[in-house]
Amino acid sequence: MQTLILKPKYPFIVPVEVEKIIPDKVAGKALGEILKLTVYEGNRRKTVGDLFEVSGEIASKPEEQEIIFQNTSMKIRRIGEKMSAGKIVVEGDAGPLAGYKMSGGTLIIKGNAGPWLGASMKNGTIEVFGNAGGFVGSKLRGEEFHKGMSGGTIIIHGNAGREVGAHMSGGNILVEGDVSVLPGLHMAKGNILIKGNCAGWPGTHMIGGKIIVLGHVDSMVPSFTFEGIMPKVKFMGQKIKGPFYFFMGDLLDTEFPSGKLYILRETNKHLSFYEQFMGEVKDEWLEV
Amino acid sequence: MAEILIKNGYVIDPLNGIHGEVMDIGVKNGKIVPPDQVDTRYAKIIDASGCLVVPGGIDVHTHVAGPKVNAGRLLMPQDHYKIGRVIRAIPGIRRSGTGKSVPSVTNIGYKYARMGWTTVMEAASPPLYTRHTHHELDDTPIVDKGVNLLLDSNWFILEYIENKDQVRVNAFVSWILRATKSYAVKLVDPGSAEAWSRGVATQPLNIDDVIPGTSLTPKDILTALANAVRDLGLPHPIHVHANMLGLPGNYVTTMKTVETVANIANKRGLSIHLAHLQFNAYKGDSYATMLSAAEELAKLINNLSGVTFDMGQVVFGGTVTMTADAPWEFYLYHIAKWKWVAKDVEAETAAGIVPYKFRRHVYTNVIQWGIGLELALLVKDASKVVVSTDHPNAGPFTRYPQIIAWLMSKKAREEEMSRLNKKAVKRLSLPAIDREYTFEEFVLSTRVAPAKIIGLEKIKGHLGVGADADIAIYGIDPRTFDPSREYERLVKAIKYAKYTIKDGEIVVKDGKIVKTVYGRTFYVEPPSEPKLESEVLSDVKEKFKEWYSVTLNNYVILNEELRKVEPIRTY
Repeated sequence: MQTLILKPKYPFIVPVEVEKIIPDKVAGKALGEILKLTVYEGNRRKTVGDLFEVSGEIASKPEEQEIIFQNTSMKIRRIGEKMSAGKIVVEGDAGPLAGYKMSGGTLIIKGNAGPWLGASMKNGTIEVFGNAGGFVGSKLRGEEFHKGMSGGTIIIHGNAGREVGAHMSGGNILVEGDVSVLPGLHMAKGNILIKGNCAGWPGTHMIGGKIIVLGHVDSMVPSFTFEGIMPKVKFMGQKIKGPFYFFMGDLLDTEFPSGKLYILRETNKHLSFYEQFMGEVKDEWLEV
Repeated sequence: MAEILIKNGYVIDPLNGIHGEVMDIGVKNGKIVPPDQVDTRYAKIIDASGCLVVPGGIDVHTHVAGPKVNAGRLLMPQDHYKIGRVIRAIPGIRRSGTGKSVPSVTNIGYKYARMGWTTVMEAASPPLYTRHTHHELDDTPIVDKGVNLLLDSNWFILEYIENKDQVRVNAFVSWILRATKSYAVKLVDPGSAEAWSRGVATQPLNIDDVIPGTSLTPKDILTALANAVRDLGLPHPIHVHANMLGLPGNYVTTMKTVETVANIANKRGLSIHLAHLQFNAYKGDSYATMLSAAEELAKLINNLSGVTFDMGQVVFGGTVTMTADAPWEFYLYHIAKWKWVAKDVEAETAAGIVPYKFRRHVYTNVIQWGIGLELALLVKDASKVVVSTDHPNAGPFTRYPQIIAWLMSKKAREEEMSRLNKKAVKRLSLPAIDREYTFEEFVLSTRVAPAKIIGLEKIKGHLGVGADADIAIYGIDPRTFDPSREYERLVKAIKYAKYTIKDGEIVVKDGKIVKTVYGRTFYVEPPSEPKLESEVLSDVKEKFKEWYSVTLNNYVILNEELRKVEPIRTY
């Protein structure tokens, strides 16, 4: 795998849109051609050579191309937009819309990511070592329902913002930290695992898919039906031990809900009142 | 201002009896002059040999400015994401913008100019928000513009009509057109907005239904406003979006609408302009059995000299519908089931906005597509037809070249029909129509007819001496070019004009904006009787306190507020 390294020539003050610097468009080109690719800095038309110091090697095929952004900041937007192969490593922060509509390859962000990370992505893998903004794997505002992320995997080692996986219709999202409100809003398919706490209302308007919360959920949407207690849940082929409160929803959107919501029993004592609706709690349900 | 000499162009100018001649055209001080008056030492000379030279296009019905369009922009953020549609800024030459069905204000001007269109009339503006409309129009570059004013559900007018006080209706219309710097009287589904605002009707009214809370029917409103337009001598006849729009079986209502006002013709013999007629030409009793009533309506229009219409042609794809026909939008929202904006304008009107997608496999949408073309092809006189999509209701205006290709080429229509719902195509009479528009008919339906309808045929829609120097030059030569076979090239040639000249300045060259100028805003100044007007005004002043959230002083728009105005005196 050949590596191309890009370093900003100066700290950017206005947003820079780097959607052209992806393995698909870089591979097979000469270095001179890459330096002449158009990049917008704010509303000014610039070239890659104006803004970045470029070094390294260029592969002939996108699959073999690795691109490393060094010393980046939140001002760099649309990293890895529509990439379909290869690898992009961001050694620093990535601004909004990183991995937007990507359909393959790997995007690794060592710092934080801005909002709309992996929005409408179709396939591929995104890994963030810092925190992510809101609307991870979501669709953009105003687009049709359920046109969010439809495949691929997003792994966030830190926290994430609001509306994680809104309108998603496939794929997997794993958040190791906490999330803000409304994860899985209008979700149709796919899986979300939140290892930390959730600020509230998981799965609002969901019509399908699976959401698992291991931390504390501040408040629940009342339009979910309580189905019982489950000892364990599967996520990406791995079993996660419970027991979990199991809800189906959302009755706001459909009469026969198929959205599944699992909330860990141990961390959510305030939801124990649901247990009265199922009569006696048998020990075998709780066995770990 | 630079002088321009357009040499050896193939000119089509039906108003001056030029049906295709190679000739030179001179431009000086923003007007057209005889070619020998141009000083060739300093003039910019355009070699137009092998090119079609026609007057600048005119759009009589398009929703390009005002609070409704702005609400559409808010409702449709996805319309602005497609990065390929961005027009990027070039400092000193043009500004940036995005959007397809509800483009940014700047894009509207640029995209019209790129196609060779130089005049647009905003289709509907509520009087209260016309200041907003004017501010947006002022920022719309290149094109000349005017505003059609919504008056059908205005409480003052309804009250005067109820009192059978035609004189006061006239005086009020005269005052409000001057007060809001507007150009024409627009009626949208007369009376429905009023019924909707009262919360009574949830369906559009038919023409003989009584408007709740009054003793009036839409017929009374039509007659009274048509009389007012005739008595005041307005250049544009009443601009009517007829009742029952969009509902199957509505062609009967359309015919009744025409019959109601057919005898009330203005000085130039025009009695009514039917806006987006396609939406009002449906037969049948449900959407599943909907059929085209184009033949019936074409027959009616062929027999009456004072009736004109614009097509409201459907083009397939996603768009957003916006109209001051609030009950219809409520109805459409339940069909489309996505998002909806409803807006009530105090004592004047109500409007709605709903995104909609016209699809090739949907029976109803295909019938709608066929009706627009059938109407344009079955009406014999192309100077009664105006090409329009009722932007953005049936599609964005940027698809006009495609519509012109469908009109000029049977092959283009057949190609499109092969991709459509077969059941619907079988029920259209379009496959049996062999007519193809000639280049002259193209000029008639996009330049001459609209100029005549808006009553500006002295300065617009022709290339005679004294006309405004609004000229479009397309890179096709009608002598050697066969539009019926090479329709794809035709679409491209019209979409990106070779040159567009606006008021004597070259604004487009080879499909690219090279200069930003700003056009004029036309408004009418009808006659007024000072005594009667002061009576009406004192009445207005009194009721304004009760009915409106603004004062009368903040309602009237002054000339100084606008960039460049041109009053058209009607007396």
